[in-house]
Amino acid sequence: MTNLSVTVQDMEDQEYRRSFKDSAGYATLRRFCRNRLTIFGAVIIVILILMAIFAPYLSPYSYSTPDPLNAYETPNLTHWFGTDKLGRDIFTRICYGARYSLSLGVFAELAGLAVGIVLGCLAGYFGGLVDNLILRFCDVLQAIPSILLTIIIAQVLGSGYVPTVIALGITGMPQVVRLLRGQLLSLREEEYIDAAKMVNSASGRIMFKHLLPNAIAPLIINSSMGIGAKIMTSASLSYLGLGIQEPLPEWGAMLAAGKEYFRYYPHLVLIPGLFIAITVLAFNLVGDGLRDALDTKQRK
Amino acid sequence: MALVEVRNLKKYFNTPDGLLHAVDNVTFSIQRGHTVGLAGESGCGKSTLGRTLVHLHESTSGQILFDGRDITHVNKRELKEVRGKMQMIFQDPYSSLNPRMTVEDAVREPMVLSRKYASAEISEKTLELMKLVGIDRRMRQAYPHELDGGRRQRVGIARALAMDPEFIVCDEPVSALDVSIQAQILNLLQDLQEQKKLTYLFVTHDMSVLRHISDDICIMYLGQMVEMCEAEELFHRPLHPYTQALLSAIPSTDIDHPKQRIMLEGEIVSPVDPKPGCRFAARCPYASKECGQDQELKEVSPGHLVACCRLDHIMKSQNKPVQGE
Repeated sequence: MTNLSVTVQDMEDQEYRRSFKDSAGYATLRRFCRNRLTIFGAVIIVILILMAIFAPYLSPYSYSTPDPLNAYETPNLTHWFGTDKLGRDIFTRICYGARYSLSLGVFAELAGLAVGIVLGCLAGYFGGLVDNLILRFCDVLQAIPSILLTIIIAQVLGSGYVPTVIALGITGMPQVVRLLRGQLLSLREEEYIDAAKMVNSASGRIMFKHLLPNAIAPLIINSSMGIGAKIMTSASLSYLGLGIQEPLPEWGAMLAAGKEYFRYYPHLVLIPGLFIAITVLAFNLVGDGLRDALDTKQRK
Repeated sequence: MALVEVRNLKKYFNTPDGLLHAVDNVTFSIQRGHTVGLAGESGCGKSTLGRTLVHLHESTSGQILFDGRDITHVNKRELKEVRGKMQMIFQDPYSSLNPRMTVEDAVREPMVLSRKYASAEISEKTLELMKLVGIDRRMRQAYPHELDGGRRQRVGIARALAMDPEFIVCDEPVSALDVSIQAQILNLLQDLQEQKKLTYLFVTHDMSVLRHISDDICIMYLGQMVEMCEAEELFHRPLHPYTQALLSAIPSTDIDHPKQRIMLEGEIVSPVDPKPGCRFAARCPYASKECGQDQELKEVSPGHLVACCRLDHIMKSQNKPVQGE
């Protein structure tokens, strides 16, 4: 009781000061950190990022120079994850591969977000014909199975890093459009949008100052999960020989290269497979944690 | 001369079932410095009427005159000018402030957009406005979720005042607030009216609020005006059967004279493609064949307009003279 009265007194006396500690961001961060699984996911992602950045310092081997004398080694002390059919150190290749997988996931998601936010804003804010056209376009994109669509785009643009980013970005874009459009449709009914119109805010200002900042939370959640999904798809593409190609150490490509020797040297497949699974899991866990932390409606 | 004049204003909405007559043929005027109370049950179109006046809705037909000038159809530039003079205070203080903008941002936004002031002037005026509506300056950096309903509504009022309006549509500004805070906000609105010579259209369904704040009262039923007169006259001598029923619903504290509550029966007619004739007829205890015709507002005594063709009959059955005593 005394504690409470002191607080009220403080509030009355002092200038209302805003520090990071009472910002909404800090509260979200605290909720985010309360969940152990989320922290687990975040730690894995940080480790993967560190692996990708410090790949050259983590192992003395090259990811591309063949060493036929030491081919097909099972995991041991000199080669932690063993070696592949050309004698290349798998741990080294996994570390370098993290560069491709993580950056592919992030950039593909960002590409999808960039286009999706623009189209979603237009559809949700203007409605009517614009909305209809954009949504039908998304329908068409979504009617084609995403892996097939990615294959088509990868075929047209050729294989490699940038075409894969574009292909994955396009397949992820409709989801962003729909999500954002739905958000804006409900936000548009809020009275502060009318209030903004009453004080002569232009459409662009209403969109970017009033609507978008309030629709951002679901987008962040969606993107976190989206990155995981995109890493998975990019691995599938490489596995099919359409994404990043040998000798670049993409995890999916490593999986594909190892599949013929799976019965004798299962580590060739198990190790890249495990990394793909763990990475996707980590992004999904973080996505779940973000939803719990950001979604005020689900809060207990 | 009247500051706001509305002539035969109609606002229809297209719905899958047909045309929804939200505001149908409404004519009234508001004198400068007066408060006109607009009352009626939920869904009768009172909010739509207010929003149509400030051009948040495009009117279907009719005329809106502001200070003698026809502002029914305006282009973008003229609309900006109109909105500098007409503002709105919204119903739900929990929805009328952007959750991502601080109090200061919300109040200064209109002035920033109007480009009438230098930035130092804006900061000064923001603090002035906050003081005027009773928000402590230490709340400058607060976000809406940190404020209670009354304070939020004060921010909404400050934002409207930042445009320096002459006329404000108050769309049920106190209905979402606690009773104790309602009184504060009503008093604030009245003080501001006196200081700034404001004119209000006050939309509400709370009859005691209506009586407290209004100079003149309009009663709406399903998009149409059914009765208009001065506030005291309405409460002493309600004539339209709907108004009578509405007033009989006000709880009384007088235990010696229990009030006769008029219970309305029957269904509300749908406002989608309504049949011609009095829309209240289906629930009216005095309805007869004549009610099948469209009703017009008639002046029964000076300044007292009623839209009911059965008025003589009603007065007789209630033993009241039709003309004022």
